[in-house]
Amino acid sequence: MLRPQSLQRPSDDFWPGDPAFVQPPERVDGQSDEEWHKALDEHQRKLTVARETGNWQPMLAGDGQPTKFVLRRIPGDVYRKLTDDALFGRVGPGEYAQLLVRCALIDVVNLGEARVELGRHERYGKIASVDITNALDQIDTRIVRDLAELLRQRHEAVSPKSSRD
Amino acid sequence: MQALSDCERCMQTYDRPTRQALGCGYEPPAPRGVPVMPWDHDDRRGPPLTVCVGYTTNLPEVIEVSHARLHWSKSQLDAYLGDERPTEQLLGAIVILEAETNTYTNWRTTPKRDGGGGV
Repeated sequence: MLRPQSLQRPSDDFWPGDPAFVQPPERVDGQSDEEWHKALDEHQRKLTVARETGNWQPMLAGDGQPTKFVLRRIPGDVYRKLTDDALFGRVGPGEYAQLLVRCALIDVVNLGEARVELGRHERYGKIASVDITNALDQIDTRIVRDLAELLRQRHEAVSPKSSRD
Repeated sequence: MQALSDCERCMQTYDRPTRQALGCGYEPPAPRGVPVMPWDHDDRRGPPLTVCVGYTTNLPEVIEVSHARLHWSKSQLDAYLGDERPTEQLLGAIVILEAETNTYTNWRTTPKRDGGGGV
């Protein structure tokens, strides 16, 4: 059972680069810029629909099981501390991404022996141990970067002001 | 109208070009030059819709906030959330939905001769 995106509760998400998913089309010989960009846009649109609706079935490439990330909503006070720390140079961009993911990640499914161990950080509160982001980095360093960007967008997506922009 | 609340039924009933012209969120954008006209109330004021309301109102987060707003409107958000505190995102979404609902209600209850959608 997949938990779709939620404004309140933890939800399941995936890394689109997971080989269990259809990957963005590669450019073929003779393909114009316009055609190739159109194909990339179409892939991105399917990804957006999968994420919005929680129906990832059309994205599956075969019988493989993608790694599932269970992500909670980062509390506002923790998000602000993280943003402040990044803005004032207390943490660099790489560490910021890693901390965002650790603050949101509460479970992972289909990642071999890797498990999420939750602890308590003196500044950010409940947080996953660094072992899990290190394990993800060993697979592909883009995973943490992309999940962090997803979390950032998700946190800033809903505001009464932005809905009128 | 039935197709608006049932995307699967809509997909079985209408072909892709028709659904693209209706702003279906599952389909690629309509080809350039093809007008996109999602269903809307006649003469509704406000920015034009770009995506079918059937798609947006069936999204899990939209369903979630509509349930939460129902409880919030009766001061029962705590009962809906149990032991949890509402996230900023949920409260923000409730404010958006409440504001849009009020805008719609005002329009609907204003007579047509005064620029509304009522009788």
